[in-house]
Amino acid sequence: MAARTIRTVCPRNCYCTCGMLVTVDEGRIVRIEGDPKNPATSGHLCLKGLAYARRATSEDRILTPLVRRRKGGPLEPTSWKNALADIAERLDRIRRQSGPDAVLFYEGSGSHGALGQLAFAFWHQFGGCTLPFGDLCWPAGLEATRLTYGANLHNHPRLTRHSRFVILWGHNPAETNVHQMRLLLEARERGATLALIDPRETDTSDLVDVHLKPKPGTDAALALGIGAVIVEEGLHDRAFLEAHAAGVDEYLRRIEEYPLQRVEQVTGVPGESIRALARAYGGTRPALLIAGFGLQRHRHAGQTVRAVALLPALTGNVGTPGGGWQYANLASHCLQPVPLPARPTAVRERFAVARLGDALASLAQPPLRAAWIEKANPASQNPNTAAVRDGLSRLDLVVVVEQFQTDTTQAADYVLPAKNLFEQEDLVTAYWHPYLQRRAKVFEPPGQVKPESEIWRLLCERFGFDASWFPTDTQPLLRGLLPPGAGDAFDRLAEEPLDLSNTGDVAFARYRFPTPSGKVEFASDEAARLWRVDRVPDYAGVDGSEADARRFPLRLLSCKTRDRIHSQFGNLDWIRDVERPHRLEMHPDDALARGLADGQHVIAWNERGGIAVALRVSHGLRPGVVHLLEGRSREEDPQVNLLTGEGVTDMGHGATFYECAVEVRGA
Amino acid sequence: MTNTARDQAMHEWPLAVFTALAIPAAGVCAARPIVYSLGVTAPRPVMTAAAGALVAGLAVSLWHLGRPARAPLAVRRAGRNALSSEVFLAAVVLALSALESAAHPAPPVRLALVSATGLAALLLLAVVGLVYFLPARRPWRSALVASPLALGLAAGVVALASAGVRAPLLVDLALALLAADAIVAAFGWTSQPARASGFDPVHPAVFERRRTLIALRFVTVDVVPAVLLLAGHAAAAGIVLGAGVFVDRLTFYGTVCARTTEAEIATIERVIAGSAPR
Amino acid sequence: MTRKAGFVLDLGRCVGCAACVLACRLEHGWPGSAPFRRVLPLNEVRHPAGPTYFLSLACHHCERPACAAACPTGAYERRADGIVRHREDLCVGCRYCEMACPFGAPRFDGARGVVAKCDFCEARFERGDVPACVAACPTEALRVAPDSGSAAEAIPGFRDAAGCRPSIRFTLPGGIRGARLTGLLRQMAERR
Repeated sequence: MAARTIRTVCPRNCYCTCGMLVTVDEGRIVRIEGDPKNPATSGHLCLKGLAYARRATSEDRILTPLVRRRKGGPLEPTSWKNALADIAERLDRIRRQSGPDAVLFYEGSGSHGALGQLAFAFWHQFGGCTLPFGDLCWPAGLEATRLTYGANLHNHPRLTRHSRFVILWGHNPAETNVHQMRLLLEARERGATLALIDPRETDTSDLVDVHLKPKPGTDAALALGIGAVIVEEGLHDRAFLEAHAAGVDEYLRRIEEYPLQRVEQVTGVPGESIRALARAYGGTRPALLIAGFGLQRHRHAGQTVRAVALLPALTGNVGTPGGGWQYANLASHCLQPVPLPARPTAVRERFAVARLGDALASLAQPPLRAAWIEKANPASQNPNTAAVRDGLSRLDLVVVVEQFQTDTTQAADYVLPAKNLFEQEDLVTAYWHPYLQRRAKVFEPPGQVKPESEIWRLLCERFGFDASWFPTDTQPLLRGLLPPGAGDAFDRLAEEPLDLSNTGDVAFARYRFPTPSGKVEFASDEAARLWRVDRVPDYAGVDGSEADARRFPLRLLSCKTRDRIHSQFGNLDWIRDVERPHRLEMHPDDALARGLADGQHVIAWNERGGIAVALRVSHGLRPGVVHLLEGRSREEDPQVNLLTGEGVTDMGHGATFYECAVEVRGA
Repeated sequence: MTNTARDQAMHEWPLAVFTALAIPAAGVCAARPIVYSLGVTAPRPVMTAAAGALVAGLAVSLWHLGRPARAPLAVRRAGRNALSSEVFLAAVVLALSALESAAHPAPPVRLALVSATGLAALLLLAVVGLVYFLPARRPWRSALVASPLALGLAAGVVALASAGVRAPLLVDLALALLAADAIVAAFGWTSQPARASGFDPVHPAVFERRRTLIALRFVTVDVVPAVLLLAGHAAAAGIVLGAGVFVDRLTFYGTVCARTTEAEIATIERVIAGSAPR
Repeated sequence: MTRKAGFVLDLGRCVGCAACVLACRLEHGWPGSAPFRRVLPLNEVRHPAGPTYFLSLACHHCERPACAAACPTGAYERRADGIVRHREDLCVGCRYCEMACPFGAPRFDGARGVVAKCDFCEARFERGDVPACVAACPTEALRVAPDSGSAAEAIPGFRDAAGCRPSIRFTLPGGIRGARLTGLLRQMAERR
């Protein structure tokens, strides 16, 4: 059979959501390339996309169901028949004794695709389950944007080239959105100035023209201070504000509380730098402001993002190519929901996902007795690892659906082998570009691997539920998810990614903001009502007592690397051969003060625990800030989430990974 | 951040063994016509041992090749390429020696053969040095280019003396050649700074012991054999020098530094960090 | 007119993402073999007295290749288009080219007993395409060198010290990286 090239898409939790072309010859992948027909990802992939060739054939892939017959014992192969029979029996017993909501269904972002919703065809018939609410990643910023502009939409990425000035705020696209980097460099070549606001130097900061390094978590003050300078210098867009903004007067009063002197003292950024940036941003049109998710990984995240998000509106950089506020673009989220049986009341959303450890320990009426975990690795990726692991170990039953051994499979009673991106057709949305893409089925699942939808179907049959919600041929179901009027889009998706959003390349081009006032909301009733925050964004300071600040004076950031998507890909030798090693990065002043040297083995610790790691003295950090990459793929990787806490953001029920105080000493 | 480890195991050990055997063997062949003028005839066992060492050395060097069966290809560029010439000349020396021992020629022909073999062996020693005269390697690109010649001739004459050959001036010649070897080695090992900018040790663990190994080399190659020769213990001198040749080769391959981009980068990083550049 | 083989690396675009390394791996007979390309960071500790950048390097297809001069069997040839080509059928696996190359391009493949190195994706280049690494670079930092241009031959961290005339050029960066590079070059000039 001749080699064939198939169009598909990477389903990872990543801005890029690259179109991919996979060439298969005699049953193996011989080429992987970016899809040139995706106008945002333009025929390129990152190293991880290329590594799929290795990931799909890794010897470490789990190919059969595994069972742990006794606590503390090893995982052993078993059959689907035995596994599902036992799992069904135990789930049923728990349901009868304690209620269906004694079972936690924990689904993460490990793999995107519309068919993931089918899980609820089982849980609804099961009678319910417990779910977390919120999200570990981006919800504070999503909510802040929604409160301000009414919707999470932004300009098409290709319009970046029209910007004359770009601020990247808490964002590292060189590592987390590499296609955005190309677009920024193109803008730069056309004369744009690039600025970055980030407490640490990164691969992105090398390539910008201006870099401000505020203390982590002080961005709200910085944003309000920049707003103050913009207004002071008359660079705000009065006409735009008059016509399209609400609550501006309250905002103008708020920014008076943020003179440069105060902002400098709070953020650690020299006042003159702030003024220069404000002048440049306010005085250049069109100007683009791109915020990353790192900006909002602390308690006062929502108010912070609101403060930053208002700057494009303040300067009238809204609804223009080359301008705008960019955080997340949900234009491609235009699919219909998957048909499901009616949702019972016992689907209990009872805890913020950032507080999984606490929920496992303290949820009551009923307490959690079992967990079904798929597309997630909470035992390493959720905050407060010790509590999560402890909680999982106390459950009567833990079922994990996974491709590889992870920290979470270590806690499992059953591991069911999960499909990979090549083994089931699906539809994949994105959150940066507006394209819907079709993930193709390239191979039959190997070994005993089954797609999740098939696992749910078999489990339904065990319980005697209606399994017709899980068609064996999913294509008609997928066709039915396309928005009305999409016509033959499903077939066209085999040839190219499609933008079915009808929103146009320029977000808010007609200045219609789906907010209560119909305008950009500088002051928001809804924010105050829903989240009990100030109507106008403010800077609320860093939480924690003085005593704690003395005991743990270093702020630990655990940022993302290009080498992994969280804990995915890091187990592959192709990635290990090129990855940045896990090192605790520390400023030379902090190292000197503690008598620590580059390369030394150290312990980073706080009240939640301690981890051993090698030190790297790095000049790119602020004094007082330490950094260790997140994403634990292997036994020997440091467990940074032993140190992070279960704080929840002021809106959106997000997590506060970057609000982590530690001390470091020699090992 | 390419983490794939460079080949840190000393893959060159077969070459160290090959040259440790081939250099003295060629030295004996090269020395033979020279000592002939002193009235010395090389005893048959010595010549057999030399031939055997050369054959053994070549066999070990085959071990180093990734494709030993293709070894004959290596003479394709003799005359234009040092390594190819080395292989060719080694074959010539072996062929001529085999011819001499098989044919039992009459004295005038024998003399011609011995001289031809000696010349080939001399060229072989020179070419072995040239093989390692690479711009990307230190301290190979130094007076050490003459080291196989100096060491080989010294080893050859000492081998004859230690085999019991008695002749006036033989010991003097041996001592003179050891002195020449010491001078060449001294220049070779010290003319370049050990850690040069842009160069990195290929085998860091061995490189750490550089000073010890070089000192040991001088002791076992030049100092002790010379003392033993002066004291009349030629046999012992031969044994020590035999071991010394192995130390010399281990030091030669083990402490080499290669010009690499990684080393160049490290140099710049030192400049950035404020240390004095070399 | 024959296209010339050679790389130009835009230091103002390379983010060290290593997609080029994996593209090379994917193109040349994985699994098992080591990639021909590598990415080397300079000043990863971000000392402000110098720039932090990345060098993506493979074989430089030199005008005076040390590998070709060293090879006893003549297994290397430099083609008219500049590609320095290694002929596996003439390789005895002596690794002499590995010793001679100052850039670490030839790599011994223990499993197959021969040396291998970047061949500029000869087959792709012949049909008018670019090498896999160049095609894969998501920021278009790595390109096939144009026939003319004013890119630098040497930069801190890379120079032709052995006289091989490597066919690689570097476009200098702007921004913070460029400013720190300028500072370093000034410092280095003053030291001399």
